[in-house]
Amino acid sequence: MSVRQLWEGCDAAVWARKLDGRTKLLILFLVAVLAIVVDNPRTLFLLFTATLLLHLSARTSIYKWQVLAILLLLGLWGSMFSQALFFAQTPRTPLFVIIEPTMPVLGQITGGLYIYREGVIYGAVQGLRSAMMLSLGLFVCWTSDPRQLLKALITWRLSPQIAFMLVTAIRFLPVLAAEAGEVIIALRLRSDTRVGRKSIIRHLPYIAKPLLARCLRRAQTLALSVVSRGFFLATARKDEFWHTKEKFVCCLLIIFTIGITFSKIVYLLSEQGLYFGNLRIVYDWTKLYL
Amino acid sequence: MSKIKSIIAIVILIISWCLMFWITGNRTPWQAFSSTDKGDGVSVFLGDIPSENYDRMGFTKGLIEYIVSKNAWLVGTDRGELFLFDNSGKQIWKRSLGIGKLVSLCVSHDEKITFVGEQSPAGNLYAIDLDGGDILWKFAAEKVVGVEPDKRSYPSIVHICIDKDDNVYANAYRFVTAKDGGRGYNGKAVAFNKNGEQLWQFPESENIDSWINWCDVNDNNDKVVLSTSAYEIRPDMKYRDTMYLIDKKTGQLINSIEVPPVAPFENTVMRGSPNFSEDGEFLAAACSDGRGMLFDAAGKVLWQRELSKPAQIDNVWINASGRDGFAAEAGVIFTTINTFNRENWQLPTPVEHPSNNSMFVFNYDGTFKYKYRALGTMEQIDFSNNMAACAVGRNVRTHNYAAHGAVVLDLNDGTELNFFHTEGPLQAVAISSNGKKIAGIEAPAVTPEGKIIGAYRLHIWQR
Repeated sequence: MSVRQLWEGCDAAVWARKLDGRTKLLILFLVAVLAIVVDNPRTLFLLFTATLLLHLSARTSIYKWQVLAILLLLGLWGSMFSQALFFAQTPRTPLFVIIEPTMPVLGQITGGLYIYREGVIYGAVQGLRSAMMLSLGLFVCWTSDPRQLLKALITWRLSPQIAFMLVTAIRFLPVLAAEAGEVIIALRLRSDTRVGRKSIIRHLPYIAKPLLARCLRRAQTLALSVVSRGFFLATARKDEFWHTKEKFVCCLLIIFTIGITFSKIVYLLSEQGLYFGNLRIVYDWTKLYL
Repeated sequence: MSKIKSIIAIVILIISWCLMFWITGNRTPWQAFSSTDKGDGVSVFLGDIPSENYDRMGFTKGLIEYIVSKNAWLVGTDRGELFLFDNSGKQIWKRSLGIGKLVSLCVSHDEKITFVGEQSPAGNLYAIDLDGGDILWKFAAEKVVGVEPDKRSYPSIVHICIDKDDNVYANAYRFVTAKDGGRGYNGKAVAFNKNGEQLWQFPESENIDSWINWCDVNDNNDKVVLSTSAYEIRPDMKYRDTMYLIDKKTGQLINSIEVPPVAPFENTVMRGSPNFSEDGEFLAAACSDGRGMLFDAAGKVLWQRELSKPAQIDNVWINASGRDGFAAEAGVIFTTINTFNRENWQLPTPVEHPSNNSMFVFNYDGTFKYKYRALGTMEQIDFSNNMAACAVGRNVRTHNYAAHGAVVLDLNDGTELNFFHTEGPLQAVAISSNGKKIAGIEAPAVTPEGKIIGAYRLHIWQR
């Protein structure tokens, strides 16, 4: 699979490709809200699992799974490890001591370096938030034709210029990846270095300029093409058909997200003194699951 | 080769997913390791709670009771969770009761229902089925003593006791501090039958304008006793007496007893007592001023002893507050807690009071039997087969962390039979009916040096 194919939504299951752009964007937005609102580690974990299940059911190819796995692992473990080391809140319970405070020089400078138990959990929560969004974002990216998303944004009366720019950013992701690959190959051939990870790392600092030059050239072509086609002069499009089933699911999800946000807000207010006895069940539920 | 690489990455993702499942659950890896058998007992993590300063007065609580018919331990936590654990520390069931802190616990005689009191904006009293943790009924203390969330004044069911018919007698209480520093007390005693039907409330149409921390009931004299523990007595206060004896059937006041204070105190305060003897003839109480007293069933003082006489050293009045009072088979038992400065409990004291953190045992005629002194506060005592299990918690004067743990005493002569050390202060204790097993709840604490000691966990020890 080429680098370009890796970032394109060409091999996903039919149902995922057929989903309306609006449905995908709406779900992405609602999950983003949930990722902010929910604090309970287990609930976040379940949401994250749900996004992975979406990939499974969309039959994401093994190469894409590899990319997804690497990105998720970097995010999750990076967040957990950094928070475990530098967790600044209390209470914090050291699990391991990496640098003893009594150690000469380093110990005195750092005041001791520990792996904190609460930091691992905190890092996991933050990591799950970003992992969930990354996973769902890639799902949308890998199952959607950019035109689908463009249509969705325009139907929502978003300014065509902004919609176009947003979609172009997504559309250019695979192109950019492919071009970066080409530039690295070219650099490698010129310097006559062997194939391997080391050679890629060696050439990384030099890819920015040629990549930027190519991007500018492509942007110029794109701009000319858009202007010549009169893209932004088009009158407001008629509402595209949105499948009733998808609409229904979206409505349910909106109600669910509003409910959860409401629960969280009233719970936080209750902690600040604005408590209503009738909402006790909501407070309890929020404390236990959100 | 690249396929193998893909598979490796995916396998690591699957492993990470499993790890996340573990980490985000109640039993995270370090907690699972800490619940393993450690020779003389097991410990089970009860969940993360904020670690409180070692020297503060109100501290993390825990509730624990041994259930004979199930050979299990009922545990209530500050996280609002109720657990039933077997002797190996395995969780039989867990019931989360929501946003409240569980502050009082009592089990019916047939061990089918447990009554649990919480502190929360509702201040619920729950009746919970001991077989599975279902809520049978509940009563909100907010209905009788109110709530002022804007002032963070929440009601709580501070103490619960039951009679032989499993009628429940509970103290509902709410404290509020006004902007000018004035203290407001709202107390009410409420009685229910085991089905949750309210029998009476005392007082009928108003609140007790004093702190009511404790109550006890006796089937032989049909009385309920309430003690008061307000910080101060103001002229406008109506309920100024120390104890109130109430008819347990009607909720009518029989009589009230005012125990005259001793210098330098202005009122007599009872925080963890009085308790009736089994036959209902005696009532044992320890006062915060350091006195231990034995009353008859009508509230007449039979004798009183100075357990810890307030002393003035370097112009500072110090004393060790009396707290528990039991009229048990082995004798009349009183306890004292840490040494406090009369001016303000947070201020330092020049010395430790020699009678602090002690258990005093007297014969019923008032003759002294023996005294046992622990190195930290005896937070709770439970009795079984002429033995007493004591939870030894903080000593805010000496900061002796080696004192923390469970002590088992022979009630005949005060001999220390066992000591099980815990890292953090032990806040609650219970002993099995045969006296072979002891369970306690350890709490985490932040020491004055900023170090966290201990964790919120249950220990079960084998004697």
